[in-house]
Amino acid sequence: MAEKEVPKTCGYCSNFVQLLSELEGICKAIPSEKPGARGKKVRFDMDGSECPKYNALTEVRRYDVSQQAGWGAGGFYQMRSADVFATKDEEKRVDRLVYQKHAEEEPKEKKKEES
Amino acid sequence: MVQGSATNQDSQESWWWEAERNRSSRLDYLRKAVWSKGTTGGAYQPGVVAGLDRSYWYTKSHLKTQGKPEAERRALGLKEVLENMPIFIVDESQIVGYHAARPNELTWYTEFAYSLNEQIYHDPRQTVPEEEKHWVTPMVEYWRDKCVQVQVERYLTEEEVACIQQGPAMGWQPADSTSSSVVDYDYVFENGIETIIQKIAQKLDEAEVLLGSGPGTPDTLHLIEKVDQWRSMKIAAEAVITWANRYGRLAKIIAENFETDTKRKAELMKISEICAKVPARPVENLHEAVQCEHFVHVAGKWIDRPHAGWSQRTDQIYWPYYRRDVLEEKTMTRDEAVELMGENNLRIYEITAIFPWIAGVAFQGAPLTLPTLTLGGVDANGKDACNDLTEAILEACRLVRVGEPSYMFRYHPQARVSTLRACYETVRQGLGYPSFQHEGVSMDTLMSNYGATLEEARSYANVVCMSPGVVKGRGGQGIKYSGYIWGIMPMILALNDGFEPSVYGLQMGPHTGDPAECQAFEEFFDCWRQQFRHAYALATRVRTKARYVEARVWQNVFCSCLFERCVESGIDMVDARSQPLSNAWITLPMFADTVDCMYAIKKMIYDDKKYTMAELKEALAANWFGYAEMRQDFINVPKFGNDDEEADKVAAMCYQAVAEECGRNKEADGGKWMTLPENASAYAMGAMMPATPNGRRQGDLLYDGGISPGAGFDKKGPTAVLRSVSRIDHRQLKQCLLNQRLSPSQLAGEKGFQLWMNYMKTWYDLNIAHVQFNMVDNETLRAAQVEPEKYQELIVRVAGYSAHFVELNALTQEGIIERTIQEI
Repeated sequence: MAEKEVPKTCGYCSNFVQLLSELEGICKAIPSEKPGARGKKVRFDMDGSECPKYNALTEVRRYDVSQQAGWGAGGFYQMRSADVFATKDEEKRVDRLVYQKHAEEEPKEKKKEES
Repeated sequence: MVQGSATNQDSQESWWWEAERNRSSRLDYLRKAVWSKGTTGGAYQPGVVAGLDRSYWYTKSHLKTQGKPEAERRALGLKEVLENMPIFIVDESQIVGYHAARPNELTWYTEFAYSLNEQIYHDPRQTVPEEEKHWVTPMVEYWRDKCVQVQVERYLTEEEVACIQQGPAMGWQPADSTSSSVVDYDYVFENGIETIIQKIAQKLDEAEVLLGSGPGTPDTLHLIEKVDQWRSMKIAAEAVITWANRYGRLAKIIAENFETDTKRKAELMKISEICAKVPARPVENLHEAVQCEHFVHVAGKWIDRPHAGWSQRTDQIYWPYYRRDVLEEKTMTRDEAVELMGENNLRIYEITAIFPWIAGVAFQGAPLTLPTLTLGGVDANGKDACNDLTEAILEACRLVRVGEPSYMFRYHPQARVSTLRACYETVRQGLGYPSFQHEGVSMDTLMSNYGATLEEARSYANVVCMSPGVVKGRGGQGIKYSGYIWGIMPMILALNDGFEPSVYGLQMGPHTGDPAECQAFEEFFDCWRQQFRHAYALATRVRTKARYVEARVWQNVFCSCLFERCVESGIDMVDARSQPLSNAWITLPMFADTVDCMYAIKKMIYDDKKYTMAELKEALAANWFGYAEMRQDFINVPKFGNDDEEADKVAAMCYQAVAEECGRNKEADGGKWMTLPENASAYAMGAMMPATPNGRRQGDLLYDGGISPGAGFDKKGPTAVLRSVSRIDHRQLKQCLLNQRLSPSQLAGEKGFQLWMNYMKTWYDLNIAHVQFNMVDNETLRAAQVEPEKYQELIVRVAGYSAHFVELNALTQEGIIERTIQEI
């Protein structure tokens, strides 16, 4: 998986970090590699070891219901912390909380034209 | 103006389409992306669900922290939530921060009340998904014997518990889980949380030196308590900075990994920088100020514990930053400022807690927490405080067009005309806000009843939808003072020897005897007054007991950091000892019918002797069915609101009596309890109340305000309404809600503005505390009933809040249509 742009700092403690190569293993499990696809996991590390202050494995998800009628017709990015995924049960719990349908992000130009 | 302006449109239907065309693409996107949390007939909009994450993390922490001081447990609970709850950033947004994991969620505070938990758990709206209940069940069970409600009930009598458990009765209600406070944001903006943490750390160091090496003194005891509090405040404040930094981190991740649009990338990097800076450090520009306020408000007043209202003088706290950015250094255009204030409205609109079904019925169409922001008024020197930002905010309101937040304008004769024109135009375009409060009466009320100084009174902002609270000096309200009395209830109890016959079937008041035995009107009036005396005593007593418990187990540790006096004293903001200036009131919804009921009884039974009290009781018990002629006689009695001296005299007696009876009670901090007749919180609930002597049947709505004449009964024009209302001494009441409908066609154009200005001058000269307007005609409202899909954007003033008309139930819609349209 090509990862060209990576976070440079840990948002918790501002330590400089680098994306680990091991992350590829996590990313392969994600259904889509397109920008905006849900479930992109990003691991932060410092000098090859985990950030000492926080267990900063996180996941950023993309939700987009901008085409739905009525209220809430928009998209957003959600970030979860590592602790949420402490156990398999926990992960299931959170997955079930995904609200409504979530489609992959469409190109923004297209959205604007339609609106 | 943002891509054009919210211009004067004479066709009402075009106002919202015009707003949609004129707002920026960002505001348009965000307006469509926001979730309405209002209810229709008690039901939430499709897709709105309970937010479980806050409770999950808070409960998890509570399990881990047994044995620690309660304040510290609160702080550690907040820390757990802020560090772990998922966060999100909506596309196009510039302001971030929410109290749940997704924007469609309503946060649930399981530690508050078991009765509320049970209602939400078994909610017919299925706000808690079935598949979640396997872990929600033990969580609800965990709080069953530990929640705040249980701890308050330890100190209540059986009578008090019974009244509370019946829900909309009297006193402290578990359903009403919100506090309400007034924060001095200037203190936060100028210091930043890091400086406040340093002050707390210094206090801790000093205290620990004394405790570790000084002699034992009587102060040692108090110091231990303070150390616990300071430690807790420090934990909470640091957690809020971490939470803000998480948003900064997310913004950066999106910019660097997901976003492809260059402009948006730059915006996200700017958001990231702002979140790394505020609320930790002092703010330096408008964007930082708005973000800082949003972070501290959401963390302190929604994640730590929920607060109703959104108390602040918005055009004053942001004015120094707006003036510098927009007018002096021109680092931000006015369009950009309007856009930011419009987004601020949307961020406020989406925030509320989950409430039980019955509360949703009471607050038709509203997000239930009545966020009301204050505009206008005078500054600390008594000069007009209106500014260009006031007008920019009102323009933003007209562009985004959401029911909440509502705005209140502090009206005074020196207010600049361009700002008054902006107020008028905002009301005329159908938003129903700003509402207007009389600057002189409101300030006099704060000074003469609570002892505020003139300078303190000049700083006031509305605490929730109606009630003024001092911001500066000894002000800064830390906790909700108010309780409730359903205002029509004492009338029903007086007619039934203290027994409520049809809704609750309870002896809810003292035995004041069979009213048929009252030989004179004054005797019946005294029975009614005794019912009020009992109700006020119950409400204030229970609220005080709740306050004792809240200070010990439901502290507001982060919000306490925002009060300089709490940082200095080491006493939590919800503790009565930290409050130098009282602001206690009992809200009195559903009261306005009482005055017509009372005059009808006086005239029909005691003056004209056409009917007996026994006959009236029979007719009421039959809900007036079978008593058509008698009912018409009671309806035909002159009504309040028509400049009828006799009717108005009885009304003045009633308002004076409730003010005096409430004032008999003293708050925990020694302050006076005042009463606030309104209907913001219970307009639709009125239909539950039994039949009343003004000819109203059970199932019909009650009157719509705190002092509004009955819908359709005010037949002699707007001046007659104002003259009647002015016969009440408004300074003896905390505030008093007056709803008026004005003709939109008559008020079009410059001539309409001048007519409205003359009306407002008359209103002000008559010393009436409050007025708010609907300016939507019946044709539009009827059309919206027939084709609601075409009128999704139509907003009306319901009570102390505005709402989307199509989200109201049919009964409430009819109640609004029935209000008299006044020609001025």
